[in-house]
Amino acid sequence: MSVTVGYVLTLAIGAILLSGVVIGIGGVLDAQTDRAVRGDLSVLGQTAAANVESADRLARAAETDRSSANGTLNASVSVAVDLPDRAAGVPYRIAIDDDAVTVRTDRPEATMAIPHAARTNVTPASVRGGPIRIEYERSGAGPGNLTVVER
Amino acid sequence: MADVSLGPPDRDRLFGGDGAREADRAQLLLVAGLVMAVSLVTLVVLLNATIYSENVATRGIESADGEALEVRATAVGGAGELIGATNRAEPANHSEANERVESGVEDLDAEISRSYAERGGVTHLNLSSVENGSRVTGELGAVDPNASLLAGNVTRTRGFVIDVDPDSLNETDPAGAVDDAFHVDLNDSTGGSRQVYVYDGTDGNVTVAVGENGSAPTALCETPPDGRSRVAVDLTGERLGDRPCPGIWPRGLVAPDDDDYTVTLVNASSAGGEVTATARPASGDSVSTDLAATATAAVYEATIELRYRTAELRFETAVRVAPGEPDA
Repeated sequence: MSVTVGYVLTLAIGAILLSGVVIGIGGVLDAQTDRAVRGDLSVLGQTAAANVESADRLARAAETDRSSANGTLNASVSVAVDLPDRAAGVPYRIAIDDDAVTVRTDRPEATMAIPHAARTNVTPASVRGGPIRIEYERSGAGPGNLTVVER
Repeated sequence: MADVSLGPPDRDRLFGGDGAREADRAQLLLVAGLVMAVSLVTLVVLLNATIYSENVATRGIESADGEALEVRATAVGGAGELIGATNRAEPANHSEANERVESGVEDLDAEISRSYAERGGVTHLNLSSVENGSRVTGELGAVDPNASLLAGNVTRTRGFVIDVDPDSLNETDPAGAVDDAFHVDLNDSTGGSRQVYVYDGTDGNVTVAVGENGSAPTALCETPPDGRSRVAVDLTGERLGDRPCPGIWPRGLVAPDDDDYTVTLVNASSAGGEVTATARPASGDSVSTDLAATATAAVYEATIELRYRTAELRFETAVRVAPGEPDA
């Protein structure tokens, strides 16, 4: 076998091995990223749902035996939640409605829906992932809603 | 002695020849190692993020509402006790009662503010409004044995408790209770009435029965006297002795329903003990009663405005405080 053939073979085998390593590790990285994103979304969704329920409890406490006479203080609740801007390094969105808090990312495509048990009406909303505020305001006899806004 | 001096540089290894292949392999290994190192660092970062977020999740989410609910309960409980103490002290008139409640709420505000400031919360409590009424007390033996008006034309009643002497109760059964038993008549101005009978059942127990529009009542609950000299029949709290007795107070006379009604004690000679009630008149500050000699000016309810703030939370409400009012 000539020196040239040996040289080419060495390079070819080396390149194949390197590609195998890159492809294999890339797959592992993708799988781990997906897992990390889903884990983070689950935790963030549950934190958001717990705080929605917390705001709901406060809203109902504010309504219990509330005086609706003119000139009295409105029932008002605001709960600030410090959520991170990214889930495992990926930006995400938080959607909320009467039944659940849904958190999702586009790349990788992952969605987690966490049901909540809030009994107060929730205004459906979708906000960018990050610090949020859950608000409740009610005056007079009209219905009150929980609203989620970005901070 | 061994020769440790460096030899001359190997020209072939540096500039070509067979050594060039070894240098290329080393370059490949270096690139592969670099790829693996970067991948491992990325994996470590991801793993760290996962461990961190799962740690945060298992640490539990601190309930943001616990302290706000505690502040509300403290304020409402404190204001309720303040109103009760003010009324029991038998103020000379309503303005004196109102002043006492107002100054008491200011003291309560100072106490609660100090207590929660230590925990990083800011509270503010102030009295918004007060509704006046009368606190009526009396011995059952001292009232008209046939029918005695306890409170006429009232919209709300709270803390309506009859402490009966079990030995003094007439012994009867539901069928005979209409004529023989001591009872309270709650007559709604919009129609209909509810009678609450208290008598000694044939088994010696203190028995409470309710009837509608003067019809034969149905026994609701009973409790053995167990040697006690007094058994409390709490009409607005719906309790007999130390047990709950739901259904005593009619649903139609529960706030926010503001129908006028009249409370009358009937057959008072069939029971001994004391009666206490605080009522809010449909108009004016005092209720009309046959027990005027022992009725005093009272605060029926107070509305307090409560504000609580922390770095993460804001909670504001105006609460009606009327301790002992029947639950809706």
